[in-house]
Amino acid sequence: MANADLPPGTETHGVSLEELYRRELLRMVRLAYLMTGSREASEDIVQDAFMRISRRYDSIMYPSMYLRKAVTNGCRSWHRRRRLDGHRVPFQDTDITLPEDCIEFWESLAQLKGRQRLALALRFYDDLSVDDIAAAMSARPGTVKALLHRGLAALRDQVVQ
Amino acid sequence: MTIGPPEKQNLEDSLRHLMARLADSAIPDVAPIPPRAKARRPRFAVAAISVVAILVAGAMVLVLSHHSTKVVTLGANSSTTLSQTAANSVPTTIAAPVTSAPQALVTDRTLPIAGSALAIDGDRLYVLQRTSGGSDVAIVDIQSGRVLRMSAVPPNAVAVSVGFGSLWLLETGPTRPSDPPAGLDRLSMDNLNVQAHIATDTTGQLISFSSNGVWLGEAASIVEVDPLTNMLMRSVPLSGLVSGLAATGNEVVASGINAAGTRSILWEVDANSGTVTGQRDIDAAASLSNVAAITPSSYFVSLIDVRGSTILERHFWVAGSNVLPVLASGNIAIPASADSVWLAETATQAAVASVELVTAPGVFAEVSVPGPVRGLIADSTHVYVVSDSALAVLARPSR
Repeated sequence: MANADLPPGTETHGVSLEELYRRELLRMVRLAYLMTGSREASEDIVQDAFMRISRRYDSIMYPSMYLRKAVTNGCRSWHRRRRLDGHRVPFQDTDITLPEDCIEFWESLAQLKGRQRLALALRFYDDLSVDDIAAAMSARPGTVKALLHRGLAALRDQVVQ
Repeated sequence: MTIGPPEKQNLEDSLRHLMARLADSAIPDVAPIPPRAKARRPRFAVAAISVVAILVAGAMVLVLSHHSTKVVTLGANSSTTLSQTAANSVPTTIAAPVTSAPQALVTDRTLPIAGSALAIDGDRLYVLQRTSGGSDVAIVDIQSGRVLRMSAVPPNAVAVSVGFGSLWLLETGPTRPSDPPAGLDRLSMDNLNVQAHIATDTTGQLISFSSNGVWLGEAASIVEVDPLTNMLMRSVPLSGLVSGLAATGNEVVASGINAAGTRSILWEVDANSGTVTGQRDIDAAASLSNVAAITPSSYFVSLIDVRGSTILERHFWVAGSNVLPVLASGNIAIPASADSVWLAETATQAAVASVELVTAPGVFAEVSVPGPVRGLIADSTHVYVVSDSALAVLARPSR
């Protein structure tokens, strides 16, 4: 069973795939949304991540962390594909009606570099530690701290309002 | 740029709040539906309960014709394989609440074109018309509403669909001595000339396309036709009677009932190998209506539950499902996008029928159209509904 005292993404194996799916699906879709801004893409990315996990579930030591890494990579691939397709402006999901303050916040968030936004979402939405973010992003902790610092500085005016 | 400790804490707290608010607003939570939710339209519930009774009585042939399915694929190419997992064999249900009153769809225009099935390709609609004298296929220009061409087809034609650059016409087994045998015709999309005829023993209106093949439903199996050779490629026997079929990419899903008529079943088939990779039993109390639509991440199944309520289940490939309460019974359905489907009520012969757009939380929009509805199909901006008297063009609302 999962240890409820551990922060998200850090418990060891022992949780079933079904339980992991039930517990993490919505959170991961929302996390992916913060990185992509597209609900449809987020659902597909997360489903794809679960699909990858399911193929080798028994051999994965930290399934929650693996899941975050798969979702993170999926989001980066999605952005890469968009760039290759010639898209230069942040995605705006016209199918979703957001409150006014959320629209402004998303516009600010979308202006950040992808890795900054990713680090901020993992830190302040998913509540991961710097070390765990580093593991999820395949980066050094120092790099993560720098990404967080610059991301926070860039968002300061918008957020403090 | 430096940020002082008090300011940083304040900033971080605000950021947490805004991120949670943004994520929650964009992706709303789901909650269980009430266990004894009533059918939202009693008159539909009565019809639905009748259908359940017929099913339990074992009138399988009637069931197959009653729930005849018009399935058109999403057309998305998925590289996803249908991998079965431990979790897959124990489906999870994450039920969604009944949503607030759906908004009204706008009827763009109504054309005086009757029909029994529809297919679409760009700015052209292909309308199958059945009359007492025989059957025709008409090519209709969507913008002008003009019939560009019409061609007589076998009288037992029941479905049209566009795939692999051709129009496919499905003919079921003969119901009259003069009818030709069942089969599949491949027609030119420009002049409706017959390019090939493939003899099959098809039932219902079951035709759908995977990446490499045309899939058809037979009584207790599904068959694949190779579009390169126009030959039957394989037959996949299933442990029951088939009543629904949908395919996309490398996946095929068939729905039906077991041979005893006591249980509804979903079969998941790998389109590449033709092997049945998964089988899901549907609640024994629920009667299976049809597989509605299939997307790279999930597929939709419309059901009538034990209370007579019509529901739409969204099954994810890996595990879990959403239950989406809908209005109409005896649905035919097609995908509108990866997360929503169109449904039209077909269980009634009434002059007015309901058409619904169903999204993740439930019915998003609906409208009444001239009935009884025989076929519907959608593109990214409109849905086209054909009945015995008219072709209605409805605008898709923004979400």
